[in-house]
Amino acid sequence: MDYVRVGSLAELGNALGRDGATLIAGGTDLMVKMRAGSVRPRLLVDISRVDELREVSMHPSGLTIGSAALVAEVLASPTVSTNYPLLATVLRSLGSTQIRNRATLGGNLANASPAADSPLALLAYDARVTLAGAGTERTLPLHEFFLGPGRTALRRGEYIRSIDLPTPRTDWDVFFHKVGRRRALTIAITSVAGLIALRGRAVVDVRVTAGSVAPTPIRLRAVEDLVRRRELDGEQIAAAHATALREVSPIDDVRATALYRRTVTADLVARFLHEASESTPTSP
Amino acid sequence: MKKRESRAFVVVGKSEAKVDGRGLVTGRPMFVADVDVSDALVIKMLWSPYAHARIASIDTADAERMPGVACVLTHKNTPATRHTTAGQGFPEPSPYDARMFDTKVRFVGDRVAAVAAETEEVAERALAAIRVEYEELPAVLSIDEARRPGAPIVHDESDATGIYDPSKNVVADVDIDVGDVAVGFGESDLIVETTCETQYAQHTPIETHVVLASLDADDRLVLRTSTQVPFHVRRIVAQTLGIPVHRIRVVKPRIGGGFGVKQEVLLEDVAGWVTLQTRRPALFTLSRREEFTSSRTRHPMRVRVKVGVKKTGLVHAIEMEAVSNTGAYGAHGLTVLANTGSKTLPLYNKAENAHFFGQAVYTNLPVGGAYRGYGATQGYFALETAMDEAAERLGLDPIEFRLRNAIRTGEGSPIFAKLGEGREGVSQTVKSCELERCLEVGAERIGWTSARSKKERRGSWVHGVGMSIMMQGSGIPEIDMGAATIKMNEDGSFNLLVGATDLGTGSDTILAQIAAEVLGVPLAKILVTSSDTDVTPFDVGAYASSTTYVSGMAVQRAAEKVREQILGVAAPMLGVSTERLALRSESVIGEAGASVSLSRVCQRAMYETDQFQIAATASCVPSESPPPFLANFARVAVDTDTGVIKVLHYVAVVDCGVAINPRLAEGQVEGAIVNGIGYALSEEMQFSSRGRVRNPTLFDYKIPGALDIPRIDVVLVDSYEPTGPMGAKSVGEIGINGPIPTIANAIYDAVGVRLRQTPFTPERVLEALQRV
Ligand SMILES: Cc1cc2nc3c(=O)[nH]c(=O)nc-3n(C[C@H](O)[C@H](O)[C@H](O)COP(=O)(O)OP(=O)(O)OC[C@H]3O[C@@H](n4cnc5c(N)ncnc54)[C@H](O)[C@@H]3O)c2cc1C
Repeated sequence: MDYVRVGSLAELGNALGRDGATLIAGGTDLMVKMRAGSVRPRLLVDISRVDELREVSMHPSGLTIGSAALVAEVLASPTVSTNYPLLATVLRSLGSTQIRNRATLGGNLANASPAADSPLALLAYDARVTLAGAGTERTLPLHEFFLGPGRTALRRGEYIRSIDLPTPRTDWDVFFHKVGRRRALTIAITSVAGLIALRGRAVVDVRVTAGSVAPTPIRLRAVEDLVRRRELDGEQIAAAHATALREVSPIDDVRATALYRRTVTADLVARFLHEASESTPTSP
Repeated sequence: MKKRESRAFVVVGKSEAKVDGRGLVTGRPMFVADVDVSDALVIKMLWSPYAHARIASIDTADAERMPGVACVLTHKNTPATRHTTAGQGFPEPSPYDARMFDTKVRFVGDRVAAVAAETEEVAERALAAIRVEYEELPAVLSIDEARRPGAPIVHDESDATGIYDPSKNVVADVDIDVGDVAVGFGESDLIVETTCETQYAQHTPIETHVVLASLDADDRLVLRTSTQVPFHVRRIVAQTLGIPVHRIRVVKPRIGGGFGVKQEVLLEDVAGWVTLQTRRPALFTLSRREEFTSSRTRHPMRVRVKVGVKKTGLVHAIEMEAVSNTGAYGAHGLTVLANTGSKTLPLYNKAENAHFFGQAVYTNLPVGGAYRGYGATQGYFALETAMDEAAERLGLDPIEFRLRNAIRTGEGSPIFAKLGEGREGVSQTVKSCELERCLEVGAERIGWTSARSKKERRGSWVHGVGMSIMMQGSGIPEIDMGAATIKMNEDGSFNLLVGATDLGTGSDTILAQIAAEVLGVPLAKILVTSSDTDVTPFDVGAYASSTTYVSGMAVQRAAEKVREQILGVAAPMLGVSTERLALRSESVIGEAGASVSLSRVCQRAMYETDQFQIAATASCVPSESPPPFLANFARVAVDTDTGVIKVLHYVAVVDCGVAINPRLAEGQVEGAIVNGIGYALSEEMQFSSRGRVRNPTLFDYKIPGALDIPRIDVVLVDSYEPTGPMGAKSVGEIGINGPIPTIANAIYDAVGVRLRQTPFTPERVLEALQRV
């Protein structure tokens, strides 16, 4: 196996043209798979020192996060915590301090786990990803990037260059809840994130996302459409709960049954809406 | 009762730093594989992919021909002696049902063949080149399947011995009676019955099993191994390989945790055989995955408890039935089962009628073994759940109910004599029991009266508090033995040689404290050497909560003998008789302030007059096993939306007699509580329909992390055990029994449902709440 560390986008473009090239950023997914023998790259192209891929910058049309920016760096950015608090909340639950100091957003997306944390916030904020390849560049909405477990829209020779988030509303309330067998370093059994803007009890706008309940992280658009521009009352929340039950398609695995996932995801959606309407967050 | 004031201790009762602490935290080479292993062969094992199969043929020719392969072991070229892997007193109470390599495999992860090669890579490639034909057999994958008439027989070999009824997959059967429970239940005003089940769990010591085998200059086999039982390793390896005990030396360096899983001979026979065959050092290490699938686990059990209570609130009859799944081999099968009754039922000694019965059965699943708590953990889940329910139905506070029924100082229980280590036990009277005080302190710390039955709600979270009590033992009476040798050096220091096995518990430190106390020297003057079968006297090893009580008493006696010798030398020097002398501050003190230093005493004995080595060896075989006691309290929050349980505060109040080293004693309890919380809430080995472990990694098998652990208050109450060294009893195991029943009872207090299957995962909690 060969290894190169590239220092610029130009070098990266060249290296990716080589046979059997595999990108490595933090390595927190890739090294685990390599040790288990499920991935055997011939050439590792290390992008962790490409400055252009590490910027985190706010501009008039929103936020751009370089794909190789560390989760810890994104969390440290005051822009992120002020303007995208749901992203900060979600990233704080990703792995542990050590993992957050290595892991990147690009890696989290390219790994395409249905249980990944960052997509819950990014999908809710309507993020787009910019994919670059040999002389090409295209951007697509994040929900079109995920195709299935471990499968993405990346073509051969392409890499994620950046993640772009539009300027958010300033009146979003945020919700995030992840259920696992323990509190840190845990893969979600199910997780639900939400953004909601209310006027009184009327829902001005809403976003709901869920992890570990479908082949990819998903937006619960049917739930959103149901409650948007409606009054949040008990009946409405019950209807949202019923819709969520139908909108997810979880599986049984070593962590939990599909039945549990479906039930709890719907419960968490209801909790999100209930807390928003009462403006009382729940904690033990 | 004599309390602590009976002695003013100088070194004992102080939280001295661990004697090996400095080396450990500065990363000195202290563990098995910390020595130079560059010329050692690497051993890798081929494990069975089937739960149950006969090996029809095995072809190792290609593997043997590979460059770098030193040898390949199978059932064809290794000794066939049946033995047990369980490191217990001899003759062992576990059946002889294991062979180094067998012609049949009995679980996914059983041994098939081993390769020793120059490197791990070569060994792996050689394993892949071994061609095995299996004849798959129908497998039994649960207690119920094992007991079904006509079930496949796990041990059908003719040369196994000590199995209760191999044709029915029954490893062991226990049935003891006190009074008559049928009559007792008839006379009771209230009957409560509950059945609780516990899961497969693994010890997950930070250091997996590892052994380095080599030959010394005299071609003796030296096994440097991560074990709790060095002397049992020597005996069992000699027996298995058919070589004399005197040709083997077992060295136990520092150990990265054991919790019972290293009370077993799992690698040493293979490493030893490789070294004897090849005359090369050989290193055999289990990977984490192998530690899960192929080492040992906690016996899963189904325990049914029926309690008959009188209107007076007195328990009148208790019946406990336990069925234990011992997996594919019977290691500790009988004794863990027996302890499920013997370590629990004496606690409720007011019951005039008691019945304990049960069986341990074989399945084609991973093998049970010793695991901290040793059956008591499984028993207390059902027992303390039943007691909580009984108290509730009587309208009594559960603390008050325990106070009326629990054993007290000066009392015994007929169970002590009826049920011991898989055979009759030893009658005893409890001489120290501060349970009442434990309950009082614990109730106050947790805020029992203000929190109980309040069902305080915050959104979907509901709070509850629960409690439970328990006892354990201190060693195995009339079976366990520990011995210690102390010899004096001319600077007034002492070598303390013990077979007792410090596996991270701090036993070297507390044994040194006991010696220092008797000899009147600071801890630094006691140089501990533990566990080298060529050097240290015999000790059964670290298990059954025995080290402080049994080995500690041996140390105390050896130190007392040495003290007598010192006084004998000093008496003519000070011109008084020995009765008028005392040892204090590194000197022998006579009357009117006359004194002579210990170094002077030793110089005289070594070089000057009537020369001899001041040294002594002493042993201890205890005639009883005084129980430590524990009161547990927990405050939990239950999320009724998700089923997630959060333990908010845990209080453990312990009577362990005099704590020789309070900080280390607290550490044992804290560690056990953390271990127990994991076992209660998240740890669980899961199996495929063909018996394969689905989560053999720390990624999928969740032990608790720092964020899962609540505030834990450990309180040691004042107590003095008159039969123990310096007033001490045990503390190593008892704590792990607490979290399951305590958390279960707290969940009941919060949401009114009883959980009867561990671990209490979010999913099981929602199921109990009838939400899924
Ligand atoms: C102990 C542990 C705990 C974890 N906990 C969590 C958790 O709680 N939540 C969670 O979501 N994840 C968790 N993870 C997974 C992992 O840390 C994240 O997915 C992380 O964001 C991956 O980033 P990385 O930079 O380490 O990716 P790498 O391992 O370097 O790469 C992962 C994959 O992405 C590809 N890749 C990397 N960068 C790019 C790019 N710019 N363009 C295209 N492809 C690219 C690589 O080729 C590889 O296939 C955990 C991992 C571990 C080991």
